[in-house]
Amino acid sequence: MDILVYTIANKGALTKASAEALTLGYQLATNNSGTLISLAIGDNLSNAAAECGQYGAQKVYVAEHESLKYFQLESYLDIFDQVLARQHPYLILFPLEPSTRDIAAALAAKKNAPIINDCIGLSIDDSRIIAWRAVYGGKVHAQINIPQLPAFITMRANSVALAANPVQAEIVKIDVPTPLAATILKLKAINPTVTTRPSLTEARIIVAGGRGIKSPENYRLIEQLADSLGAATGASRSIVDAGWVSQVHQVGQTGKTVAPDLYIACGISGAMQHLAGISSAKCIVAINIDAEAPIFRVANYGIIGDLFEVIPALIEELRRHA
Amino acid sequence: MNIFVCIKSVPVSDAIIKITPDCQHIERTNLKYDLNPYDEYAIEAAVQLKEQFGGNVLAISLTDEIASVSLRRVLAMGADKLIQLMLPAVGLNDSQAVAQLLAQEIRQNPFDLILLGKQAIDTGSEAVGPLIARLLDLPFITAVTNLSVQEQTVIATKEFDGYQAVYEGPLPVVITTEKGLNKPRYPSLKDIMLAKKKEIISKNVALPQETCQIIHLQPPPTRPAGRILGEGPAAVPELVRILKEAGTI
Repeated sequence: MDILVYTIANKGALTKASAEALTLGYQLATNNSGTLISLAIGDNLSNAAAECGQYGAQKVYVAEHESLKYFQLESYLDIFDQVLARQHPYLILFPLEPSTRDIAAALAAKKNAPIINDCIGLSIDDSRIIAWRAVYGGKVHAQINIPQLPAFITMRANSVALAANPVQAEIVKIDVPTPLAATILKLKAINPTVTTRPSLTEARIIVAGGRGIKSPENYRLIEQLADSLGAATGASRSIVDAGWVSQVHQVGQTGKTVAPDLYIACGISGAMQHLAGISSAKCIVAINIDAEAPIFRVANYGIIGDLFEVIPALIEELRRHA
Repeated sequence: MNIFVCIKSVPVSDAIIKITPDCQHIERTNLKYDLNPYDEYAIEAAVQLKEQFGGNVLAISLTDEIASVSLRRVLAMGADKLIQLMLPAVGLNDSQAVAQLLAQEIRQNPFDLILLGKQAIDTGSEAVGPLIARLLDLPFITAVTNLSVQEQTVIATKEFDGYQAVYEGPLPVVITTEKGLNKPRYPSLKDIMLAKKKEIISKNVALPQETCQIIHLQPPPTRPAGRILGEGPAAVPELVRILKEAGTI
């Protein structure tokens, strides 16, 4: 019984979330006498394909063409169909990101198969497949029984501890028709969004700001601290709703649920829906002027104080240790 | 233009969620429900398109007696009619089963566009929109931050890591809405009064076979008690020392 993991490359390198999905897929496959197969679709994939072997993929399918650089559901599904005609995995795992939700759901729809998004855990006990998800914005964890196969599962980033399992991988190139078959939806334009920072859901470190920053210009302070740590920038709902920062930065039940190694909450009091969204962070640091703020009840480390004094001191201290 | 908007009534985001002793459900007594926040963007987009092109906005929800009370707000926001598919109890249901029920009902009506919030904040599964689309054999675009319709053509923007993609395609299509798409309106008193005359249809339905089931609910692992390192900048060196020592930074 085989497992297929869909992988994503960013600037030619395998994303961390993809490596995590491979790590998980390898563990499940080898414990259940199956093999791990991977698939990558896109452009500039040769390095990422080689990396898949490092994480245990024995067969690495690659559909590489410049016309596949940007996500187009129907074209990507055509590639999937080619692979699923040759392989019959009982689990298809994806690292969760904006394209994989669409692919997983479209494939699951075709087979009326289970589709479980944003899993934080997956195990096979006595041939029973069990997934874990966070529900109610992270306030509850749910155990899900998957009696029906194949199942399509997307995994939340930072949910699996990476482990290398180098194997001899067979790279299988998939023929990409040129031009691609016509699709109903057309990609009309691509607008690159320039950011030097990692994405919120994949970042190892997140620095987030809330009402305590007092005005939109002061979000710069959050960005400066983030840059000194190579971190992503997050925001509470209140400053997003106030229009101080774009919603792409929002963390919490109506924003992104995150699981970084380190979450630094600056001037965030800690509304329940925000706390739920960061409950899987491995370490939470809170900087807040109000000693009674609920954020201190979940923080591993807290500093009570004015963020306009503490953040610059923190940036300076980090610089001294660099 | 006839637009279907699939909506859900969910526990409000600041609600305290308690798990029942059998770990199968949540305690619903005194739990406050409201329209799923992402559905507000879908309703607003639908009402704006209706204002531009004319037509009807039909809201449809898989719900139950307790939850359905908060759905009526969409009528004040400008939806023309509300269809409530009533289950004995709605909860964290399988996306496939939910999509089947909604698609079955939608299919019986003429429509040009289907809108949904990109996710319900209780289940958070983000799968129902795409599944409905595939059941109805329609293209879909998820989590859109910009949407316009010109002469039977939909143009929608979706954010990816590092780029925005603009997709274009003919109606009908299924669109799920992301925060930031628009600013949902606050109904005026007049809108609220007018909404009282609008039609609400309730039908009892049964959930089809689920492809997967929740078998156990539990609170997330509790976080170990934290430590206040001190006050002001004086506490910073200790913080950096701890994080360095743990290899976190």
